[in-house]
Amino acid sequence: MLRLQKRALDDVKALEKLVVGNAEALEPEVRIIDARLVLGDATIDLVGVDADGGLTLIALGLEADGNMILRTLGAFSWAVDDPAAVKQRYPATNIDVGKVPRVMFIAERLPEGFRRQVRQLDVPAIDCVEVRHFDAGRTTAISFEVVERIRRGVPVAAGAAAGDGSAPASSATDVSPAWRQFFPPA
Amino acid sequence: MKDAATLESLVTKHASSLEPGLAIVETSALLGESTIDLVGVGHDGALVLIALGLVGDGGMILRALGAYAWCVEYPDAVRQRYRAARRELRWPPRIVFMAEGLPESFVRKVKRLGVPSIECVEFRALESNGTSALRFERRQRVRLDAAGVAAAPVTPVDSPAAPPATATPNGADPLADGDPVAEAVIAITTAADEAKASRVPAAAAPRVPAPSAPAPPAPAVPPMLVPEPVRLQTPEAVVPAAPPVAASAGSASVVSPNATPSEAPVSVNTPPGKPVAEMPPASRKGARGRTRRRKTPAWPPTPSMLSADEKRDDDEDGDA
Repeated sequence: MLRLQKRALDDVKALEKLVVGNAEALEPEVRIIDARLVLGDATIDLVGVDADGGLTLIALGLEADGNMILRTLGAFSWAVDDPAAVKQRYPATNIDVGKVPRVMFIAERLPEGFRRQVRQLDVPAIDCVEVRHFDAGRTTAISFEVVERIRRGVPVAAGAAAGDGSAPASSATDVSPAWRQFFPPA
Repeated sequence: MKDAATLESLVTKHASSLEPGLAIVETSALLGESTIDLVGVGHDGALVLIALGLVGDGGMILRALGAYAWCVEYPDAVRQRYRAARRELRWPPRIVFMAEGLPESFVRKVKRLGVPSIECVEFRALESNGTSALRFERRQRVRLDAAGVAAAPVTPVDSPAAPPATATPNGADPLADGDPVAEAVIAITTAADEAKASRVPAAAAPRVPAPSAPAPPAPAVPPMLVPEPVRLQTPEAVVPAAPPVAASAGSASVVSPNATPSEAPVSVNTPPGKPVAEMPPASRKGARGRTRRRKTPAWPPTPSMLSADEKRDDDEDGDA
């Protein structure tokens, strides 16, 4: 019987290495194409492309905090405002600029206060993922657990404005943003 | 503006200038894990969360976002807390970011918050004739509707001069600087001004027009002092005035006129007690900035250059 023992991550760099090396475990067919990308005045830890060609911005941290939100918010807003620049930066990668980027927060711990704030972001698809690193005998193991999946499937402002009324890229649970409850259905 | 605390007190005092009917009900309110600078209730009954700062930064966004998220998740607690201010609070809360400068990157991030109503207000601290004033300029208004797109302003801009609000795809509604609804100037008189105002009402004093009578002739303008041009030169060794060679008994000294004073063992006939190298103060002053050239007399000195005593000595030497 294999015994797993939890192993603490030393720093964000170690986490980055783990995520880059095990991106397939995070989500099938997702590819990491860049690290520490500066978009506008924000630096995002990892940039990936999902199976549908959508850009995925990944923020890393040992314990999720406001800094992660700000970095992601800055990079996301820049990528949405200037998608052509993103495409130009990665000419060899088949990025669908018509899709609004997705955001992933990956950390060892995602406090409730952090998740509460993340729910109020106007980002179409956010995944909050807790990572755990284990010692498994002579080898190590890593586990990604999606603790919150937010607004997946809601057509966002930019996409709708561009006439992109297509179905959401993902078939995950549709979680409407919290503020939507304040408006009566038309 | 010195600090955010000053701004907070000014905004609290003149909240109605920011928005008619706005009443501040709490300062530095701890909502959940975040502390928001000001909490007010608008004229429409909506809770208004106001984040203040000298320059718009990420801290303001996080404070407002944290407070807003807590209010949205715990509406009953919020209603209970501000029941005294208003019996029925309109939901959801609004957010106002106020700073002296709101960078473009800040506004870009704010546009991506999922808050139905956000206003970015820049203030300008003005001062004129001892009276301080604060001017509010609404820079950006972000409105989201149920679809999350076409921004319909909750508070319509009913000014004919204002351009029609154009909704941007992300729900941001940029405002022109000249939007009359968005601007307000509040005058804040200092304590000294208030004391002065109690004696003479400043508001009642009309502006005195310029007299129609011909203006008195302007006083003669004193001649301008033209600074003397200073020519920078490399300092030169100042050669003292040609020292007449003292007649040493039985020996004739040979003195080179170009020798430096320290090297020239010359004894000159000067009155006792008067140092040789001492220069008048003006000369010393002049020597600091520029070197005053002293004309070196021809050598050997002609008889006309000698004093009477020197002439007599010279004659005696010649006779000998």
